[in-house]
Amino acid sequence: MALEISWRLPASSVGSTQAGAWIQLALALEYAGIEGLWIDHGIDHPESFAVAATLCAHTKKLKMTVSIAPEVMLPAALAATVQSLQSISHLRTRLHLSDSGRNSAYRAFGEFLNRDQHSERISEYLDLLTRLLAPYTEPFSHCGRYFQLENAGFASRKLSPPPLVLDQSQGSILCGRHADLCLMSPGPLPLLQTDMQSLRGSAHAQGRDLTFCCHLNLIMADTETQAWQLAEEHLQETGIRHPEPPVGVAAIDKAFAAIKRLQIQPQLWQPVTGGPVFVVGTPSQVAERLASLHELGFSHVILASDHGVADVLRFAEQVLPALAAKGLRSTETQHV
Amino acid sequence: MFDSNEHSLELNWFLPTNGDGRHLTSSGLPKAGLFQEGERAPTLDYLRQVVHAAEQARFDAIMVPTASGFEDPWLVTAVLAQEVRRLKFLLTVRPGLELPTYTARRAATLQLLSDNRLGLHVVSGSSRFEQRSLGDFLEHDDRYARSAEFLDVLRAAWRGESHLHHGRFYRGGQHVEPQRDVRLPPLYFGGASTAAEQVAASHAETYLMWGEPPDMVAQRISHMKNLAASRGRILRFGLRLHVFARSTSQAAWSHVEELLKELPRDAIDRAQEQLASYESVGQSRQSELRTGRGVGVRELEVSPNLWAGVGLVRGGAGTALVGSYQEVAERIEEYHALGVDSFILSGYPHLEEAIHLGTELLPLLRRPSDGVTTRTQLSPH
Repeated sequence: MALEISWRLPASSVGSTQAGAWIQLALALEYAGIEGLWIDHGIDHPESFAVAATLCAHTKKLKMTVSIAPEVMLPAALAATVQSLQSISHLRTRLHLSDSGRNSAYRAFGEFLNRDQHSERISEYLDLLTRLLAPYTEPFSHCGRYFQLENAGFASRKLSPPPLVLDQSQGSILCGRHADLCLMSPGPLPLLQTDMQSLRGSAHAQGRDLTFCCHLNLIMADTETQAWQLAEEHLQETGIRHPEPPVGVAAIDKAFAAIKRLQIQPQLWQPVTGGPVFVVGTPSQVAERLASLHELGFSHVILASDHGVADVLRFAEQVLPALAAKGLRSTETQHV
Repeated sequence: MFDSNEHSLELNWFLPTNGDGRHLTSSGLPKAGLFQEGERAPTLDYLRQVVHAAEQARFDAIMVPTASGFEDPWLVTAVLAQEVRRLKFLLTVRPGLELPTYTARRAATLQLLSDNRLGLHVVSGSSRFEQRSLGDFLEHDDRYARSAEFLDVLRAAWRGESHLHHGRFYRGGQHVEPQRDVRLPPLYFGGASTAAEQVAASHAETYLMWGEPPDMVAQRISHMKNLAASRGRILRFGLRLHVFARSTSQAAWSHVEELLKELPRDAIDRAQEQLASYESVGQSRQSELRTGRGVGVRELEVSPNLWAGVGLVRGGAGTALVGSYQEVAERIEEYHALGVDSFILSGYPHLEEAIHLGTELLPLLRRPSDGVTTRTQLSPH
């Protein structure tokens, strides 16, 4: 199975030049032969569906993963919107229903439920949503704890439903029952494999298949030293406290020994526990690391970087061929 | 309102996101299941042409409707705003399906993506059947109460104050930064019931009506002006109308006569049955225009050049201006003199008619002082 790559649309610093930058990034991705664009939601982000629709107008193949919190819209309204995006994008949509229990945005959107109620609600929501998105659904009525519907789906369209992405934190039952793709953190290792096994088991019990994806921030440079230098700069910019260098390392290694302690696997760097994970290194190291994540069970990696278009092209020119050489990418998708 | 001059004439077009065609049943609801032949699906390739035609015709904005089975107005607007540079989009929103802080975020994003070309048309309800299929079980008057609160929160979100809101339908959450980079879209509001009038008087900027004879429109304007004034507010008014205009009055009337003839009697009965289920005072007012009248083409002329025949089979706006270009322009000017500053026009099909009316009708209504090039300036002959 090939390794699918998506790029993450950077959070917005709102301003009229931003829209042009989104379009530019989408065009670069399509040109570079990267399949997907991941569009987050939340109070720091532009509204994901509007961005996806706009970028559909500028692209032909790019797949849009649209993230949304299930609190903001009734399930039948979301189903109609998703079907409309499927139609407008010519089936290029993937839907990520984020676990807003972890996301501050849902509070901004006015929901006040405790954790149990929250997960009960999302379960009911997902049952309704997937039923409404099924292409041959008959109109139905529903009277649940959180939602009520009469003749729901009477106007629904015969379109194939978009693949659904859920977060690992939504639990193996929900992921197993509804998700096509499960978003996980790429480490630490032994736990990761156990989790994947249990999620897969839950999906198989429902007669379904489940694949896995993860977010990775990209810090790539010509030499490894330069890459770690960039990582160091990142640490300083974000104001994260520099860890103490370990005692007893040779002076020559000292430069990056400190921040390298934050590696969770070779080249996978997590400066804040539970925070974003970075892949740090040369293009060939990045390719190695992506290949080993693929081997672990990730079929899809969502990359982010501070240097949008420049990193997209560099990745396409220097990493994708290495992945193709490992048999993880079809060479036909290379456009650069 | 889109224009900074509050009394200049705003002429808008309509985007048929539920399909289009040459017949009275081709666009809008209910779909009577007739005339499939020659009907056009609302594909992007088609809608794209309609917005280009509307921009070329120099319409100010295009209304993007919403209903079950229509393409999502937010998505359609996001795509089509990329196609044209000047045309604005009057997007229809139904409170009740989503949280107002989310609507605020969507609107801000579209304002950014369209360079502030968005307006919002707030519609509080449709048929009970459709509302409930989407999960909205509030009854009529409560829906208007919710719309009022929805608009309060939407505006508060723009000011960065939605977290302070604690109302009957919505409670504020985390603080969201105020919108500094984009403007709050102008707010259009429809609804003819007492509950709707109250909310419009206190919350709307432009109050929209379906086409009624001038004396009835004048009464409503005067009533609404007083209602708004009692709240210290000033309202602007808009009218939604279909147009069948030809070079002569006779040609226009024989065209609508043909449209009427092709309607089977049972299509009218079926449509009327469905429309009766709409809990809409505006809908009843449209239907009452035909009370005591037959279905002969001129019998349905309820005031000079105002024809109620569209409402035989179409829900919502059920009247059309029928006549020569000159007559239709005069009627529009007449409504304008009564205080209607915004018109949302439709013609069948919307693509050809945008081009046609842009050539023949709009130049009669646009003056050089509107900042718009008139036809005589474009092609002196």
